[in-house]
Amino acid sequence: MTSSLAGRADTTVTTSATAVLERELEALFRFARRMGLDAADAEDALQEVALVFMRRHASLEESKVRAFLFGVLYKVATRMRDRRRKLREVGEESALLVEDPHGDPEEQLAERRARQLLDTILDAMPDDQRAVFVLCDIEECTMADVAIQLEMPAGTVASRLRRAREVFESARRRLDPKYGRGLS
Amino acid sequence: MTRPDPFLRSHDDLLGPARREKFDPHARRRILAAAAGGLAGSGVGIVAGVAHASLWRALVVCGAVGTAAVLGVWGGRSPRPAAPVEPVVRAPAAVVVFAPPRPAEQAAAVALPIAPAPSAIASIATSVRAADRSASPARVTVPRELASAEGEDSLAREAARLGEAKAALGRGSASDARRTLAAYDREFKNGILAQEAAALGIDVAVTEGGRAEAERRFALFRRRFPNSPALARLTRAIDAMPE
Repeated sequence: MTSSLAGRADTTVTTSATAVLERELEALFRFARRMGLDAADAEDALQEVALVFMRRHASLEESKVRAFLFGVLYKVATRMRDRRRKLREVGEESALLVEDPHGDPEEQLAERRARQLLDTILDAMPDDQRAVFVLCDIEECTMADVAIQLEMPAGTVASRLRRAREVFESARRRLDPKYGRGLS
Repeated sequence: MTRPDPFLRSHDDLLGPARREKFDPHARRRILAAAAGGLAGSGVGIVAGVAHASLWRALVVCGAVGTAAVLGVWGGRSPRPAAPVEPVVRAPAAVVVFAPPRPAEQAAAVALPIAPAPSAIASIATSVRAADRSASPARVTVPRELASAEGEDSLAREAARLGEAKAALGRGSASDARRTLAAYDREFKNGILAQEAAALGIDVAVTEGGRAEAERRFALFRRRFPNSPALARLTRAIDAMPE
């Protein structure tokens, strides 16, 4: 009886943790991608985050779950990306990227190129600015949320975002001739 | 949609595609199944994790390691995989889906040496390498919504079905286990966990005491999975059966 109740509780806890994970996976994936991982490495990183999360979720306050997930992913993603760079394994775009088979191929190509350009621009940023930029301007999180997610004061988030946007503007002018022409 | 922030508006052509990037649903399912199954040491997790591009190169090794992990916690003394696989993770104390039936009477009847789950399982799952190794899950389960969702993760459904069979055998109901395994065979003709299902089928035959049936199944198993790490354990189980 007791063990059956315990078993049911285990299942419930596991289920709710999986549900939380499921809810956040898309955003976590995009964050990992914009932090410089290819799709395959992003999956690896998410798997690692999922493992840590499943072990720790019981001790996490609900309000801190998202911060925990993004915080762990930030560390995992930067470490994994740096390791890949050392091994010179970057640059191989993965076949795991998902594209709608019914979508317009030209549109999909344009989107892929836009993401490649975006990633090249993001590469110009230091990691701390990049993470803030991705969360604020791509994931459209509020600065207050990002402050919690990356465990830093809100003022730091604001200043990093400002600097990141400056880097972004300048890198885009340099790397995207179309953008420069459009502005002038 | 108009954006109040001029920066976001002026860069929407680059930021928009990034927001629309989709995560491969198969990868998504693999991660959820691995998370639900506790990955470390779990056959579900390891099998589920192998589709990663960096792991494809090592698929063959992974099959052996995954099976060793699954069957290792089953209760047998599975040989360690011959391939030198480097990262080591702690195995769970018990895996609900794959844990062997160990009713005391069965152990006594066939005098099988029940080994504890291995303290460490070599794995090529790179993502596990840096994961927190301090605490392996004492109990891992496949959540019901993964197991039952229509059209959802067939791996989770396979695992759930085998979990039912194992639970039935654990209760001492070999006939229920046999029926569940038959249902598994019908539902998953080329299931990822076919090897585990076949081994469990032999366990059922051993429990039922049908030596001829156990030997027949074992012969098929050996032909189909000649390198299975479960072979030694199953051989011992059948040898221990009364003539």
